[in-house]
Amino acid sequence: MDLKLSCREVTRIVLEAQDRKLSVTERMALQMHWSICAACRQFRDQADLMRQAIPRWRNYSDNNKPDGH
Amino acid sequence: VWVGELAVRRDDKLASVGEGARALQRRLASQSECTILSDGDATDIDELLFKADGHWREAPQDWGSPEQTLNQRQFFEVLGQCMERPPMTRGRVFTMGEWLELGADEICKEVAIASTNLWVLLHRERLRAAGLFANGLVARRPMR
Repeated sequence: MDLKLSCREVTRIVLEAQDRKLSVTERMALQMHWSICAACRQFRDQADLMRQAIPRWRNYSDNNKPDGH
Repeated sequence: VWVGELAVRRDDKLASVGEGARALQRRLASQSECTILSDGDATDIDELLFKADGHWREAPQDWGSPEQTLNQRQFFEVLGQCMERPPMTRGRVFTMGEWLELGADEICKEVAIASTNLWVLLHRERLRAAGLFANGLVARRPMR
């Protein structure tokens, strides 16, 4: 695998990382890319936030339904 | 973990969804995960998010620190709006709410998208609807 990734590839890998373990090479490539790309660091943080937010949103949403459950 | 949680729901639903779900279960078992967009969907999303050279068209925003953002009621209201806003995928409409309630099985079956890509759909919706998350709701630096 090429260590030099485009933002598009980094994004794909970041999303896949929620479903599978990344290889050492992939993790290195991500670190390299993040060290030079603020946009992809931002995306990584967003993805992480969304991952945490979804279960909480479901709670929030359930607690605010009119029929309440 | 969010995806794992969806997977559990997926299993719950498999008992009741019937033959389609059993077919999907076989597919999931054979493929171990269901994360890959169909070619059409992937192209669509890629074009919206990235330029031809693979760089972002518009850099993702800063959503602030997770602790802070996740404690904002407003964040979840906006997230709810995104969730309930129906994304169009291959002409079929479903809401994020349906996604969460029905689990990934139906979605994967119908449009071959995966739980992981829920986020991408959300992101695409954000781009298309131009800025539910903008205007300083959760962004520290509004884009426009």
